[in-house]
Amino acid sequence: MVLKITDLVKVYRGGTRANDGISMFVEPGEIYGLLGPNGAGKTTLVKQVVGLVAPTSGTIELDGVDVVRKPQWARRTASFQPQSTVPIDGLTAFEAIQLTGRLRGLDSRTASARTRELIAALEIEEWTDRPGQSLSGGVRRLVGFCMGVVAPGKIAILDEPTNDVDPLRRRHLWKWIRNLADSGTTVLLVTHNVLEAEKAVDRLAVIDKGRVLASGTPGALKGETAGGLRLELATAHDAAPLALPATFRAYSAGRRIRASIPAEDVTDAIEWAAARQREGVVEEYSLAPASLEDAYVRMIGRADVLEESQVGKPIATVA
Amino acid sequence: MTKWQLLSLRAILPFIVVIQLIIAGGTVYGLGYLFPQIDPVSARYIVTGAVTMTLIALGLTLVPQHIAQMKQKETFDYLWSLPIPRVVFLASDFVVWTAAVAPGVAAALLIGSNRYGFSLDMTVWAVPAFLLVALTSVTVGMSIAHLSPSPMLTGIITNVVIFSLFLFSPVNFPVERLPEWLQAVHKVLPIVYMADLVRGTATSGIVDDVGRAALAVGAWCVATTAILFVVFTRRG
Repeated sequence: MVLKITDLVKVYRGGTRANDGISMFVEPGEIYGLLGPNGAGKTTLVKQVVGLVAPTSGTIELDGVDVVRKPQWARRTASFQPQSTVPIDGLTAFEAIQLTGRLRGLDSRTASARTRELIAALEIEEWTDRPGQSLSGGVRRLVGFCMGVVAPGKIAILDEPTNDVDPLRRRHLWKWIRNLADSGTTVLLVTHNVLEAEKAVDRLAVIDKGRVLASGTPGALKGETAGGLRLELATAHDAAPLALPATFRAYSAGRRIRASIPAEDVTDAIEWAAARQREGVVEEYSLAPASLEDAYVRMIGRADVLEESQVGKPIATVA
Repeated sequence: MTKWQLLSLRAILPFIVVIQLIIAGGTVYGLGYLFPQIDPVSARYIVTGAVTMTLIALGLTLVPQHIAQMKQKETFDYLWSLPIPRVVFLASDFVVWTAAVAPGVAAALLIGSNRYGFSLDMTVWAVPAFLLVALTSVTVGMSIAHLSPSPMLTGIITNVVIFSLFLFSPVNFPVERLPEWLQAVHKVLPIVYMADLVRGTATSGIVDDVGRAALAVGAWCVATTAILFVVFTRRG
């Protein structure tokens, strides 16, 4: 195994318990996701792995070496894309990526070739010679990603690589990550985008309040919600709070309600929703296959952790 | 790493070089207006003082402000995740910044000796001595910037330091002119030793004990470098 974390605790000065007994492992060539809401402790966790933050207790083994004791080993073994923007003011996109390759041990020619390859794969050629300070947030993020993977070492650690990145280039980025893993580099990535995590990672850990709530493949984490459906309701403006049937597992309040429905109750649920719509209590409703996000929201215990864009496409909408 | 630093600062470095030239040359020239008549010893104090000021200002304003900015942008999160020994960061910073102020130092010496009509009496030790003063002020400035909890505080500290340096430090005049308690303070601070080291290696007949000055500056250099290594290897 490439990365093994055991009972990791990090308490910051001031008492914030950012990591509260995290244990996990990552296998070679695997894409491992750390999924959780803001403030869950994901970034603190990866900063400890790359040796920027010292744990309060617990162990981190990277490629068999205790990196709590030897952080310099982590810097050699792991490449890193931080959550904060990369320091590329004054450097062009090409220089930033190429120099990172050089600093991470590539010879000049290989570093330049890899840089050109990455720039082409992510379709950011038009910014190749633009200075960093003039790049938009999304392009800076992509350059940061390139810097994180130009000479990836045994493991590439990427902290929210797709933030601010447009959908087309996100796809390029995920493709590159998959190729990276296929060529033997392990990828540990932090995200709070559930849909992306479901599609892109081999295994993941759901983290909240510094603890691992669950870990496994996306399929395994869906657990009992797998095969079921998700019902989404928009209630009328003036409607009284809606009482939901007991079989619904609702995870959103307010005017928009989302609920996961067990497969055997789907027909009843549709009838119930249609009836509420006739009464004028419900404006519209839709059904979609249950996804990882249903399991995720259930685990985290609140629905406000989801972005609107993360909600899956409905299979039927009745308005 | 030096290439990284040079490239990332390329837009601003020419300005820094020009401004350092103006400040160093201007200090030498301008201080002359303060006194109706300048004797040869005072002239040497002013000229070598301008060199010391330039080197100290490098370490105590330019470098800390740059670091404060980098801290604000969380730059070190990235830089320190690279597989590069921390001493290389220190060395490349030092090389780039020292190169940026070198023209100012040369200008101060040339303009000064020309304006006040004396020929410099530089020893072979002048260049290593200047470098030691520059390195010490850079490590002091870096320590302040890294230990200071906020960029704003760094700005305030460096402003106070420069203000007191100009008015209450025996860089441009002999230490004996200060009140006794301030003389005592300067026995501990590196400033007077830095000035003596520059003066003693660029002129002759003013500083009695250049060796002592070199030792004191060297001790400060070692101490602040040690502090920096603790800061550099400290993890949050």
